[in-house]
Amino acid sequence: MITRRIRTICAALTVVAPLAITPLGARAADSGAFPLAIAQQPQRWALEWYIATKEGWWKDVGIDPTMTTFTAGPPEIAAGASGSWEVGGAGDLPSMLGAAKYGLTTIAIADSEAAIITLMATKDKADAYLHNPSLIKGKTIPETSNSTGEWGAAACLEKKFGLKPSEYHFVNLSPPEINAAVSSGRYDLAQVWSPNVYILESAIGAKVICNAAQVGVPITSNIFATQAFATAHPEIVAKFLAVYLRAIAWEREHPQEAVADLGEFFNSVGVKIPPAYLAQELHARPAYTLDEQLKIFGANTAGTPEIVDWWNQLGTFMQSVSIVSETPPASQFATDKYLQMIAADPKLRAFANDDTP
Amino acid sequence: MIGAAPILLLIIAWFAATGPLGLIAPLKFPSPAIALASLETIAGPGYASAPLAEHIETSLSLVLAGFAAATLTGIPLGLLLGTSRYANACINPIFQLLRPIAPIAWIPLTILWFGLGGGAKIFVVWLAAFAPAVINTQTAVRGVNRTVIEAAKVHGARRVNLFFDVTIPAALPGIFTGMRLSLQACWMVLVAAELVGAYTGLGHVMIIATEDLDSGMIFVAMLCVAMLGVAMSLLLARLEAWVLPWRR
Amino acid sequence: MAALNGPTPAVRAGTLLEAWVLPAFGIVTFLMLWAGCTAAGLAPARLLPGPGAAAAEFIDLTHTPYSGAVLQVHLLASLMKFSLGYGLAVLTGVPLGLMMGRYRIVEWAIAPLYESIRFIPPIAWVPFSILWLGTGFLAPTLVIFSGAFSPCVLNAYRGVHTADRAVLEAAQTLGAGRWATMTEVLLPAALPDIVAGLRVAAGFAWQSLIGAELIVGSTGLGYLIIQGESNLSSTVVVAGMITIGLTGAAIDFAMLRAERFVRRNWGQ
Repeated sequence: MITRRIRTICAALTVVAPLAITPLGARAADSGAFPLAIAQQPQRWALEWYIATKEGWWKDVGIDPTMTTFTAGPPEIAAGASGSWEVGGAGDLPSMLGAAKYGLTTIAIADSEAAIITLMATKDKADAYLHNPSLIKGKTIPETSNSTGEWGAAACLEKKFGLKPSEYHFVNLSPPEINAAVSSGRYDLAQVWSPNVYILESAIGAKVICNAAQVGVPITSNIFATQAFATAHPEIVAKFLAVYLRAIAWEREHPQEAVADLGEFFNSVGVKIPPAYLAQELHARPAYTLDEQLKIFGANTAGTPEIVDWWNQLGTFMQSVSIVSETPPASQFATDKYLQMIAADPKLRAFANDDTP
Repeated sequence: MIGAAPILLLIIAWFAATGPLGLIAPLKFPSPAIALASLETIAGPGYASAPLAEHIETSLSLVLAGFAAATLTGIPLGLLLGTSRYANACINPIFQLLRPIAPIAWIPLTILWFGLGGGAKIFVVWLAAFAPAVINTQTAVRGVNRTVIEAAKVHGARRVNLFFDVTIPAALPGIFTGMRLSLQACWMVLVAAELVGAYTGLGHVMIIATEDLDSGMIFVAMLCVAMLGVAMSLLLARLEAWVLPWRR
Repeated sequence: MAALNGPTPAVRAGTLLEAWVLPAFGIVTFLMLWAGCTAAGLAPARLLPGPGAAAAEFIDLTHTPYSGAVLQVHLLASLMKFSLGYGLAVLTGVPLGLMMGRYRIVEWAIAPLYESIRFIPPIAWVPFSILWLGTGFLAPTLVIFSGAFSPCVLNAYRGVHTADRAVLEAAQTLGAGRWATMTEVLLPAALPDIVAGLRVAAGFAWQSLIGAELIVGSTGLGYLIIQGESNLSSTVVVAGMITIGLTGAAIDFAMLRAERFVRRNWGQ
């Protein structure tokens, strides 16, 4: 009986052993800096944090950042609800989804993306579609449902090519699978955003036949903070934002280095695009400095701030495809409070403008 | 087997935890009221571009097609591997290497080979449901009582007769176990299959609801899949009882 | 029968043929078919690389980081998540199955729920997994758990039913308590079935993990594949698939060995 019991214990231990060796996400040792969990994606707008880490700006404001990389917006927003991160960035649509679901607060614009939300066609078909849009009628178009990509593609098809939603078929695929579908040669038209635009262009010579900027759709990515964290630590949110803005100012002053850094950053998160496209990516997705952000958020201007108009257009789209049943008013999910905090603090303002020696 | 009381208790607990007790935030798990509202939405005006009936129809026919393909290919291969040791030695290593690759990891190649149509989705379902059918059939054939086979041989049974009259009937219970597991695998792979460009389907509903963070709708879709799975496995059990009356 | 007199040369030759020659023949044929297909241009290399290109990429990945880490690190990340979810499923599923087999009331309470929940695709749990457990190592736990749980329960349950009622009653007559009956009689009796279930569960868990990583995650083999697909580097996709296949086969082999060991020592 005793040996049997020992055997039983041994059997149980072999099962438990793997559990014991699993480290449960231990955080970096406390260096006195404020630990901040940041959600990012392998996108151009996360470059600012990469630069900040490389240049060592976090310790200037007493923040110890931990980055989590998400492949897409929806899981990132879901993770925010469980407290996995405190601040982060994502596209327009996830930002508003977070705002509608649990009061996520947008605190700044990350970059403008209308120029890189595109419809692409294969090499042999692009010109034909441009000259005769009626050829698109009845086509199956791979796209990513419930994304800004869908918004841009639908606007392109309607405004540039004069097609109604009933005249084509959108079929839902994730961006990597859109790449696979187009490069397999089975689909000659697809909704694509960068960096996949460059990958398809360089790999199979696909061409952009329309982008959201051409049809006036105001698409951005945004920087946000969870409501709980923003309420508890407003000064940390302001400092975090100041670091981001400083990187934007720095990119303006050091365009060459910014391009090289973008290449390094992309490489570190597994995005491989030909180096020739890096400068194009930065040019197509402009980011905004402190003063420009303040202007977009409507400081010192009469009438509706630009951002409210942008968000209202987005809200209309999201309701039209029933992602949310009602969108909260713009004043509830976007605030210039933290931009103002930086502007009001001379030291932080100089830091955010990269004026510090 | 299926008692109503425990389920009733569970529903009461669910009411209490999401409602009056406030143990679970509605965003983290839907309350009965939210789930009901989601059900009304999808049953009436529809969600993810179609009403519920259409989603069920798509998924049901996909599962049936995939299940048929998996059993029609898997059982013969299992019979071959079970009866011929040399075929087994030759084919089994490849099978063992390819089997652990999740169907979802095949999606890039699936799109390349089959595009985004029905064939691609059936292929993904087949990938998941094929292995259980093969393995259980093989094990069942191997496990057929040697004495019975020897006895049949002594009585002059030819190889063909031996195979159809002795081996297969004796292996049938094991083959049905394989079919049950295959059926479960068909439903378990539904989301992966409908990631390959679907217009409708319960997996498609789950994908869209995930993107919308609509936990109520995810729950409704899960419930539908669970109920359809149970219904189909009950039908399969009926079929088994009919084919194998001596097992009752 | 041959074992009594020691293996004859003919038997030894047959075993050799079966253990090494035919498996090698099968795999070589498979590789040659694959190479033939790509060489004949049935699939362009951009979409399906030949075995040589895939093997070269495989070796390259072991020392050149891709998606922020080398292949071994991705593999390790996957294995850790696997251990956590799988361990949890075993630790909860097996006792539950034993209880279901032992006590009518537990069976009555759990069976309907369990019977229906097993059809739900593990990937469908991804959003709830993120909402409840956040990100990091814990994120895919629920997904893996939901894949591995059902075979654990089912086999433990079946194992108890195969246990000899007479032995059970004898133990109780001799004054064995509930705990002792469970650990000294039922668990050993059900062990062969349980281990067989653990093997099936390991397979399901491994597949669910890859699925979960394709959707969420920043390390792991599933993430590696999705990045490869996104960058249209088919060699990375295929090298990742090979790693998944090899690791899965290795896990299965280890479990098979464990199963045989248990059957030898505990089996009736």
